[in-house]
Amino acid sequence: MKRVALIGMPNTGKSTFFNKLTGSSARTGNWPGVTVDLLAATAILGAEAVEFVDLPGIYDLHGFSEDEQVVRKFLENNTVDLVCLVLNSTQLDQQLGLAVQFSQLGCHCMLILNMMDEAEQLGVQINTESMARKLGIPVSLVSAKRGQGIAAAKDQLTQSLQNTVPCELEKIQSKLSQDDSVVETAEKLLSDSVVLPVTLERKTTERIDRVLLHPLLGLPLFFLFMFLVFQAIYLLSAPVQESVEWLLGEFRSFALDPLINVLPAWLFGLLVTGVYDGVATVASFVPVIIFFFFMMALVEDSGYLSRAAYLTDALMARFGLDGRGFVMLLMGFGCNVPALMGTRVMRSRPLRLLNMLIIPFSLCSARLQVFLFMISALFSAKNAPVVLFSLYVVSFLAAFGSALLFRGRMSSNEPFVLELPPYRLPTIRQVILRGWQEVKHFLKRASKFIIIGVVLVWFLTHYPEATPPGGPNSLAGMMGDWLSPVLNPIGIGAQMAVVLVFGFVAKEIVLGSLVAMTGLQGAALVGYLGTNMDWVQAYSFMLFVLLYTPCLSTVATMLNESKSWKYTTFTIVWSLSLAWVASFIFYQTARYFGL
Amino acid sequence: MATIRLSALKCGEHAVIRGIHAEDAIRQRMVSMGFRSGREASVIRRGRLGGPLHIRIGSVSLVIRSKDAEQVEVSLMV
Repeated sequence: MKRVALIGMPNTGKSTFFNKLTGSSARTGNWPGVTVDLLAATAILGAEAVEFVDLPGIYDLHGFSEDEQVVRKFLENNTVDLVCLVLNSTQLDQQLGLAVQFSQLGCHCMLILNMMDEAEQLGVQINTESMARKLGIPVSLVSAKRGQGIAAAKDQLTQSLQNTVPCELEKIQSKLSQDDSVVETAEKLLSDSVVLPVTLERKTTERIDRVLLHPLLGLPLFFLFMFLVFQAIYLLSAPVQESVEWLLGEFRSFALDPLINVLPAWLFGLLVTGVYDGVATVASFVPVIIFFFFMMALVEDSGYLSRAAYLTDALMARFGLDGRGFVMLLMGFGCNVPALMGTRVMRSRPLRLLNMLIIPFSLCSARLQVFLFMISALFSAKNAPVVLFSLYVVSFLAAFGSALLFRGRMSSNEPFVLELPPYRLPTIRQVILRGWQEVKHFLKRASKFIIIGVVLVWFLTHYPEATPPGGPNSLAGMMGDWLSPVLNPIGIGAQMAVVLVFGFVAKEIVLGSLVAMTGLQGAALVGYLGTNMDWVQAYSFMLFVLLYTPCLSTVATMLNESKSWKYTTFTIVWSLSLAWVASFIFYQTARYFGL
Repeated sequence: MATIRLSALKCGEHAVIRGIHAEDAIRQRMVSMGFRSGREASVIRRGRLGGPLHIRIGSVSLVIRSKDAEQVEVSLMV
């Protein structure tokens, strides 16, 4: 199968183009020479299946950032039939240099000028024939978002692929000419083939920025928006969540409960009260997570996230971080794993390590699911929002407190330069596709961990003796006893201790394992928790869950990104100690005051 | 012609970039983001409390910390 590498600068709509070409069949995979996962998908071009690989956005083939190294290493270690370079038509004055660099590599290339609709609106005129002739590369104008020019670009790709031979690139950097001469060639190309309007100001974006980046109003507006986004997520997902719960319950009483007459009791227990109930409890929270990712995709594609970085930078600078770090923290509220990987845009290692230390304190969607359940079990509807809000506050405090403590050891001199893309209205298709990719990722990880975890918990709580499940004579009970000297001072009993141990693997298991352990579900489990814990214990438990290691995937990502066992161990020890100390202080203080 | 630093520009002022005074890796990064000698830069707004500058170079709208803007040498246009 022929292979096409998709390369471009950040903010060129490269991924939109990738999705347009390949549909939503993309999967992540490993590639020789490259340590990070890349998205790849196949598309039919002409009569052939062609593989497209979406490489990270880069500014320069010469560059030293991790993403730039990934692109170079990928090209040096994998054969590619065609390099498809995607540039932003409205920013050719900045971006043509990259096309010049690729034209010098001596591999087959094709140039896609994306966002032709915006370029037209701004009055940018591009002579693609002249550009193609001068670069020696075919050039196609497209708007991936609106679908303009895609068919023609596909034809061009098909044609280009017909007469290519796979090329292996070696020592890319030695093939490129000096930066100054690249700039010179690019400027010549620009003046020959592109007519730029006198002013490239975007009136609408300028007008919106005047309000959203207002010196006084900007920051309050930002927090207001974030608050509204979170409110919208819960408002929208609540009815869906109730229907999912109802459906899963109905399915159990109609299809599964009759099995009790067929299956041996232990197998019924394992499959139905273990696996099914555990998975069902977790599944009922999936709507919240789906809406969360859709909303994040909407905010991200609108161009507002880079504004958030601008608005928060002055504040973040005090903690030894920068505005991008704030955006990563926000992304961490969805899932810590992509947020950790997002720190790759930072070139300075100390700065990356500091950001990676604090991201796991972001209250991610998996932890949110646990908190929503526990809060509904132990707090009144009136108090619930306040309790949840306080957990978000603790999450920020832990993140910024850790940054303050360690900024001296992890300081950087990396310049803070960030592009502000114009505001764009994302299409519904775009948001759904992006959100869906995240959801798929989450479901894959969650389902794997949950089923294994739930089965294991069921086993530990039912053997060697199951009366009552998880009681002192079961394996779980013994484990709880063994941990009690550490966990008693923070008000966590033997049963919950086992849950915490499994929570280390993934927070998605926490609820499932509670279900498997107690054999109770829904309202019954809520009632059980309400009678077996008081609110002080519950809050202490939630504090611990919030602050200790989020999940094994985070640890694996941390190790993969930092390439350091020492650093990874340090972050685990730090978050565990912080979790214990915070819970200890809360629990003992509350008890001292007789609560 | 007298040159000043990009960080010294006031909102609405235009200037021509003359050079970047930073180590190679950082300089190269800034050049690829659009900071090239001879290009025109203008300051759109400045963040409060020492926040970053919002500038425009050609078609690109950028945010840069004033500490980093100090490395960019420019000559003011009138």
